[in-house]
Amino acid sequence: MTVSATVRLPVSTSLRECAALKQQLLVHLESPDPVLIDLADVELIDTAALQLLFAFSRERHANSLSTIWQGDGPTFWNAVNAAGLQIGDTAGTGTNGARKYDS
Amino acid sequence: MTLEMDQFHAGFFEEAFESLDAMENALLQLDPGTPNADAINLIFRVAHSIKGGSGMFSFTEVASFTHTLETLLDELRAGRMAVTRPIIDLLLKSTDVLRGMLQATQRKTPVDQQTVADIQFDLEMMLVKRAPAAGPVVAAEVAPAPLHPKEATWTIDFCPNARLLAPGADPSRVFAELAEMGTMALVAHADKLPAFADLDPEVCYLTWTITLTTDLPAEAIQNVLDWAEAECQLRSEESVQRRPEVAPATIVTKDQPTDAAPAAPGAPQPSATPQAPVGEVGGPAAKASSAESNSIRVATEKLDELMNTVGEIVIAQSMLMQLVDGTKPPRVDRIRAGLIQLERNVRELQESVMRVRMLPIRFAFSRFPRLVHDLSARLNKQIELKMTGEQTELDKKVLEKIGDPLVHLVRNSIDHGIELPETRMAAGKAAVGTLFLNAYQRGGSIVIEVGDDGAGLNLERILSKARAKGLVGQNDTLSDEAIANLIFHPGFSTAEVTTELSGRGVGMDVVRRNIEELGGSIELRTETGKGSSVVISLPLTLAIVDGLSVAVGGEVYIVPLVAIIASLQFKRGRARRLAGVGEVFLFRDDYIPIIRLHEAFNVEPRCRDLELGSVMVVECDGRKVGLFVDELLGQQQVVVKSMETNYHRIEGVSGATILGDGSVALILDIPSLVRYAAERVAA
Repeated sequence: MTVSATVRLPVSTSLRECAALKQQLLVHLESPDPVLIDLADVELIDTAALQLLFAFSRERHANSLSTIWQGDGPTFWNAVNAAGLQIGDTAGTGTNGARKYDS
Repeated sequence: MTLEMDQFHAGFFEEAFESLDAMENALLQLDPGTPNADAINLIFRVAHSIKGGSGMFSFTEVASFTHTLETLLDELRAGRMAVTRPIIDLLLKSTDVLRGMLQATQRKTPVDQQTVADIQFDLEMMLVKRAPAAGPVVAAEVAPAPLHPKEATWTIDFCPNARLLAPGADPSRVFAELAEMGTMALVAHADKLPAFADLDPEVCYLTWTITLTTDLPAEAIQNVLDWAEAECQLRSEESVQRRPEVAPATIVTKDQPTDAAPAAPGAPQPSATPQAPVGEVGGPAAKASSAESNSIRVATEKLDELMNTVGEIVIAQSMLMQLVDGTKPPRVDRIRAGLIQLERNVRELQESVMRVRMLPIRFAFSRFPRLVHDLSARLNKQIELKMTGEQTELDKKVLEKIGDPLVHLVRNSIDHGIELPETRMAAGKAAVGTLFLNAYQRGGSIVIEVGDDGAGLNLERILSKARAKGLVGQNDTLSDEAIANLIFHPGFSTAEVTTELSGRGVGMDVVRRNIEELGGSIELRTETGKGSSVVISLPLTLAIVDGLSVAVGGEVYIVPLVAIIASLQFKRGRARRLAGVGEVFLFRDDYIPIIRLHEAFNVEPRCRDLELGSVMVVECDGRKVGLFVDELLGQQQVVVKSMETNYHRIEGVSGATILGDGSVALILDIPSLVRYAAERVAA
């Protein structure tokens, strides 16, 4: 599978990083190939960042485009669960290192 | 900005600063070995409320910082991080930064961005480095647990204000807190989410439906939601079927099963036994309850105005009394009786108003736990701070002015008084030194003691230094008390090392001057090897003064009673004139200089012969002066009017008052007159 881009989330992914992250994601919003979001470094994430990532994956999903969630990111998935969000096809119940596809 | 908004801001800042003080005290009580849950909760609540308030007023930098701070505190509160000394120190630094940010915001000056960024980074790193959580904080779907008989199920529609995220707030922690209260399910709704390109990351587009089953009372839930209430439009309902009937911003129990609960698998089933609704939370009843308070905030200016008006009433009453003195019987007796009753009532009113101005000295003491903590750590000393009499009250103005002198004395004790642990142990003392602050009322004065069980003053070194500086003659002999008092001389310091804390010889003279300007006195006690203490005596209030009125020519002056030692009438030949000193007289084995008030204030006197007038012996800082006046008129309590406010400062005068006949009398500034006498001798 060809990946159009990899977006590596920082250790602290919070509101302060959201403006830059949005610009980074916006570039790949309509990429026909899957966009890979690397969660490996994430140690802290807040609702603002989750909302942004959720919006990105939802819009790509609506356009039949794929987003891949990769990396050992328990912090990320715990936060997704805690916010009651549905990201990916298994709603944040993924295991460490699992790849998640939302299309 | 509107006046109303200014008032809201002022209220926020006032509360925030008070809360920060409480937070700092709680942090200083934290023991890494045995963390205190109450203290941690208090600290968390302070950060929580400051974040909420700053978010509401769009103080985004403050809100963002407190958000990070709160995140760390939440970890401590939940037991996911251990309370360690580095964390306590970092949290103390955070309170400093937060205080600085609030002050800058209040003064509309730039925030120290670098310091804020540094501490915020440290906070984030502390979070990143923390031990991993034992498990997920919250699960979206939780297996149903058997319902406790008192359990109730609540449905909360959590519809945040669009700007909720802007200050750095994070609703997920509210969810985590709610989850800890019972069994919770929540579903996020994204129907308001715009196209990605149009999304503003600072706007919260998400809403949530939360179902919570808990045996905790409604108030507990409301407490968790309180901060969000300031920023969110909260709505909850008894049941989905009754949604249209329910008023917004309320939470009610759901007492019947419903099939329209949020569609979260595993959501808890409501109790089979209907529960009586526990009532609305956040509704009028709750608001009324929270509004009940034993105190109100009143601007100091209003109290000053009130005090001024009471002072005018006292003067008017005094005028009436003087007029009655000239009225003939029989009606005069009835008028006088009425006036005596009025005088009593006015005095009570005056005392009541004065009490309103009184504040406990703990407001001045509260900074010292932190100061001792920081300085002892920096100097590698072990110091226990003991404070007593913190409830002792004194006038707000006195309290405001006593803060800096006390800080100076405490710093001196830590820096020069209390020895290093090894030095103490070598001297047979406990490694931990004691610094004590004590306050109590003695008659019409408040006494504050600042002392330590340290090395005490090195009197030999003080005397040697004083001789080297020419302050004391090489062959002069001084009492221990006189030697100790040399440290109050401007520029005098015996410290071997000038530190950033003290030892520059700038300070003790300023401390004494500040105390004297408040109408107080300062006394030093020291015992080599056992410690020192400074005893400060201050008037209860600056608003009124007990004085003796004296006449000089056509003028009346008020001499504060607290400074008067004796009143004398001279016999011929008692006074002498000494070269370089001027007029002196012998009083209790000491020759005391005489100040003729008519000369000091350039007034034409009724008499110039010392034998025909009166001399009052007054004292300040152990120095006595005889004040020569025409006549002593009588003792009275006078209302002090500020010279600076109404005219300008006059040397030798601390204030003015209006007498019963409507004339103005100046109140003498005894410390200033004693200095005047000393300067005259020196000249």
